[in-house]
Amino acid sequence: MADHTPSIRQILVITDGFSNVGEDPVEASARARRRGVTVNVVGVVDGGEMGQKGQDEAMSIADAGGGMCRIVRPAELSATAQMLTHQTMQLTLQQVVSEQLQEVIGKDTIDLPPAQRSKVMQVVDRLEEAVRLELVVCVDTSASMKDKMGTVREALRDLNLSLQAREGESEVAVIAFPGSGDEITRVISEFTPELNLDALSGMLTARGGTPTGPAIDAAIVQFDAKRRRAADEEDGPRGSDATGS
Amino acid sequence: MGRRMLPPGTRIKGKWSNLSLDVVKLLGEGANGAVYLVHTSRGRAAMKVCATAQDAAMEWGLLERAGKLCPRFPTPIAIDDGTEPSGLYFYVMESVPGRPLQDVVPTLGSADARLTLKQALQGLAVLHRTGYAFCDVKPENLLVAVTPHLDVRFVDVGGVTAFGRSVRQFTPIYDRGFWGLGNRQADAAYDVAAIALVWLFTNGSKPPNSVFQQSVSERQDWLLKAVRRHGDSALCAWLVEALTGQIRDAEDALLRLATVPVTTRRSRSSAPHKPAANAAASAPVSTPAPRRKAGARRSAVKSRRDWSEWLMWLSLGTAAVMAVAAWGQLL
Repeated sequence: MADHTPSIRQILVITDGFSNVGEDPVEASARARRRGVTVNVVGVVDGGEMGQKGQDEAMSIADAGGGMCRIVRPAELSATAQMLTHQTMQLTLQQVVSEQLQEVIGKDTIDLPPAQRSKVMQVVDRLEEAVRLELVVCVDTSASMKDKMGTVREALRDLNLSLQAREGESEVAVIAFPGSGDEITRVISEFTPELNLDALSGMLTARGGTPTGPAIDAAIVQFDAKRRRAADEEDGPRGSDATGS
Repeated sequence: MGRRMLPPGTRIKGKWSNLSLDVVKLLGEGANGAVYLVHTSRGRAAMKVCATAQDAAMEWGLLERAGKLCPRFPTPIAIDDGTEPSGLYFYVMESVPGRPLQDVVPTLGSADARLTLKQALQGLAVLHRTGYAFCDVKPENLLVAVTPHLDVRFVDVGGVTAFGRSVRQFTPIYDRGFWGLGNRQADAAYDVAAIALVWLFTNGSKPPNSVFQQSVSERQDWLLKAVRRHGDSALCAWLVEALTGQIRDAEDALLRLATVPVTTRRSRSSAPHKPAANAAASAPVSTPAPRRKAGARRSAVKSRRDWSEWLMWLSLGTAAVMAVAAWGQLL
């Protein structure tokens, strides 16, 4: 594969409503995807307050971002965030491996007999453990999330635990939407190898609408800044280091 | 996702082999697919249908390895794609007898209940010797057959992970990381902690949903109380050792378990009516909540003291084990 570490880039949106501030989140999600970033969405419903509109939007964001969407109760958030990250990493790598197979033997994974597929999947599995992951978590901090913030913080701590267990490097950033005061979004934590759990306690619900689109754009800004930093440091071999398409 | 049900009587033909099977009934559905009881030319078997060819292939690889290494897992039979209902990705394995552990153990006497725990640990010990952990240890994945003799089997290989790799398939309440009692890397102690949690919740009450929004120290608070409330008090020290990673692997867990006497009076099985025992196991999910809320406020102060209690239990446990080991050497 590529001579330097390939990375998988993902955005995870955690919300309980639908966007009503700023640009269209579905378009923002499509922008992210064009940059090789997959967008996953978890809708957290306590009673039924997310509504059909919110659920439809969540689905559309994930669709546009090439990711997955799950609507769950707060108690399931932690397991769901972890599972979505894992499954979409696996999907991205399956595509990568499938493309390689096409190139080398002119066959897709699915054209192989099942026993050989199983060998291909072992390769995918090893890659998933070793690959670098860059993840931006966008957390809805609008007023309706108030009772769920404890659960969100614990879910992020838990997600961090899963990422730390991997052989490959992981870097996580956290963005809150809306931010506090006049800010539409707020960077709670920039990319760090280990999620700064203390910073999460500063993640509080705020007044304002639900700027989901701007939050996804803010996540893209984080990825771009990171890419620029990496390019400045390395300034060496050409070519994209993105594994995703 | 758009998964369809296969009605009983559906005939499935394999694309790659001459496999032909008839669906008898749906056995269960999970996040990763559905398991059916099927009839093959060689008798009954279980068929797992996955959402994608990749998922089926991934699990098949694990089953081939795990089934070979540890006979408590189902024996793999075949993997294929369906031609007749096309786009069906499945594999076939031995149909494992028995019912989920949480349904069976409350009906057993104390000696049989202990034997169940022992067999589960023995199975894990065999797997651990090969450098793999089960990881998704939960009552639903441990099937217990009572006839012709007590036999514990493992199902669902989806979580089986090489030591040192990250655990990807797990159930939060049976995961040591969720309780702040260790990392999420596969090792033998991970499974031992999971078995201890299974045992704790099967013989007591499952944690309420409120633990999901609690901090780690509040969760540990709850867990410690659950250990103290546990019906089989002789087992408390063993449970604490297993939960805190003092027991390194299943072999070690068995050795230490052998020193714990079987308590004859079990609080739960003494009740003659089984359904009541089941109801008791699930009911506390909502009832004790108000009491706990009051406790949560104090827990910031209390959690420190509770940790010392963990430690006390632990040292008591180790002292007892060392004494027994000393006796063992003398004899």
